[in-house]
Amino acid sequence: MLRIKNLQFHYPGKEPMHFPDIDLPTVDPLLVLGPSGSGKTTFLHLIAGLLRIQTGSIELDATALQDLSPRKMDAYRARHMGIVFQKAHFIQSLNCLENMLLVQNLAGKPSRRQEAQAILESLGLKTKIREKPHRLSEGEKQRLNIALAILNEPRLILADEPTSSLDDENCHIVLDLLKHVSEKNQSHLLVITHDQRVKETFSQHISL
Amino acid sequence: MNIVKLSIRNLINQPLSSGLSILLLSLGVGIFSVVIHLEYSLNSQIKRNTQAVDMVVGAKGSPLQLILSAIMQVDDPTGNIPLDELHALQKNPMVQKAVPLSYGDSYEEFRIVGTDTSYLGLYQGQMAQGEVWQTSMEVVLGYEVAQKLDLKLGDTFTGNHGLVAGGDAHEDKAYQVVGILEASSSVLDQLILTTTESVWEVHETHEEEEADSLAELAEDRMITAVLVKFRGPRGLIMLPPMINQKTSIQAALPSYQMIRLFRVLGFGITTLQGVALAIAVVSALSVFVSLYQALRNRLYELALMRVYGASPSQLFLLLLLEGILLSMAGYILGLVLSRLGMFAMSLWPQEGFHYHLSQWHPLPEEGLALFACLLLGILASLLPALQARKLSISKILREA
Repeated sequence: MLRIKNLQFHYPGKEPMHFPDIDLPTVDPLLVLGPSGSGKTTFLHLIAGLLRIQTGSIELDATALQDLSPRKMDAYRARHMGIVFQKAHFIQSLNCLENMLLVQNLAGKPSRRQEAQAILESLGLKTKIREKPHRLSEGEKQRLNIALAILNEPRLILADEPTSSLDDENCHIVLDLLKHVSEKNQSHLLVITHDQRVKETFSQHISL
Repeated sequence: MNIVKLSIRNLINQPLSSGLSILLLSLGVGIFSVVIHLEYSLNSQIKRNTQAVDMVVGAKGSPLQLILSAIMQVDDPTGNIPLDELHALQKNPMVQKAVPLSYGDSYEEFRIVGTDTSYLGLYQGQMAQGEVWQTSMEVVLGYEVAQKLDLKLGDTFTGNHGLVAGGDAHEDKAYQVVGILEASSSVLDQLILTTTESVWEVHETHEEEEADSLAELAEDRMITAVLVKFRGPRGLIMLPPMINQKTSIQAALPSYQMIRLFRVLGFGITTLQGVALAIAVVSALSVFVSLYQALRNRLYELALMRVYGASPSQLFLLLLLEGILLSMAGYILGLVLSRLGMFAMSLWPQEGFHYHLSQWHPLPEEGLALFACLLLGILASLLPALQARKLSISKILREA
């Protein structure tokens, strides 16, 4: 269950931002559409606990995120949330598999190399496991991005403009992949974007 | 994959900046280590050899040269003195021991020294094989001499005139090895010891044709120096000025001359230590710049790690570890370089003077250097590490 109520955020010296309420009792994917400057990234950062909630509440599977201390929020995010970023960034000194193992380690989970390897293989990165991320194509980088997001079997997958830098073909591949893994893992999927191409692939959407 | 492994991989991922920092620090540590090892080696060698002797008596000339030649056996003698001077010293009530030394010949660059058996007592020389010389032309080999020249009991050889190779050979007079000394870490290890008479005998064969009689020859007998041990402090105060003012020979005090020598050497040692410190400080700056630059280039990576669950303290630790690992790598490489440097440098004195200057065991100062390197690494990484701790994840991710 994902429930967001009366969420507001106020950057110093700027007008307060108001965000729509969300109530998702099941794990159906939700698209959040909004133009540039509408506060999409702020919305995502609030849900992910990267910004402190000033007003309102966010509840994920009976956990009230606004009540968690920063330290507990960090741990909660690592274990229960996966974030797909607009620009795929990785730890450049590590190869694809090592990036996966580090994410497991930082979430406080035991190293499960075979599982990490299996996820990479399932996303078509079998031959790239030992490659450094900078050697991957844009499409491969976005798949590795998704692999990192789903590695710890999160309850919520947050995707921030996951398709904006991709061509139509890769755009649909990435969206299908996100929907597939969220369904398979029974995770909530929240895609936040300004990319109108993705609108028809979601049955539920809200606007900022 | 944990924070320690990640910090190692991050350093490997920037080979140029990491390599430069490590190289600079290793040069600082290496120079410092070589300097203190040389100082320690020289100090201990000189101390071991000079503490047994209170005064050296020899021909007029440089007192330091007299000490270096008579005690350390690394310089040319200042000349010869009449044998009577030895007898006078031996009869002096203030003198406990007066040991004659006659040298000027060598074999394969190892000095042949004519003396009496009390010379062995000065350095607690113990026989490893055979026995002490009894008659003329019998020799006892120092430990290093026997090792290097592979001589055994019963072997014979002839000496060369002069203290370096290439002098005229005394082919008509052969020495015979009757004993080999145990290692004593003193000058004994580097010498071929025999009776004073042997040295006279070798040289007099050339001179006897010119002498009018054997009696006249005996009257003219000379030695090179006398090592003196006093019964008490009175001798030390009275005898040296008396000899220097009232006779044609000179008395030199090893303790005083060594202080003079170290005063000169000390300036060079302090200068080199200053150079090493300057290099170490520059390397600490290089570590700082390298980590600070890395922090700026890796802001997004660090923010990403926070997203994945790394705590601010883990980021702090990551950068601190990188600084510490750089400094430790520099320290270890510095020690390796210093040992290689000392090995190369030790070849020169071993060839020329047969002294070991190589010290492989760690010195307490190197422990201090380890602590200093650790401190430099921590200080250089502290500011970047503190900044990493205060990262605003949301801001960095938005601006990327």
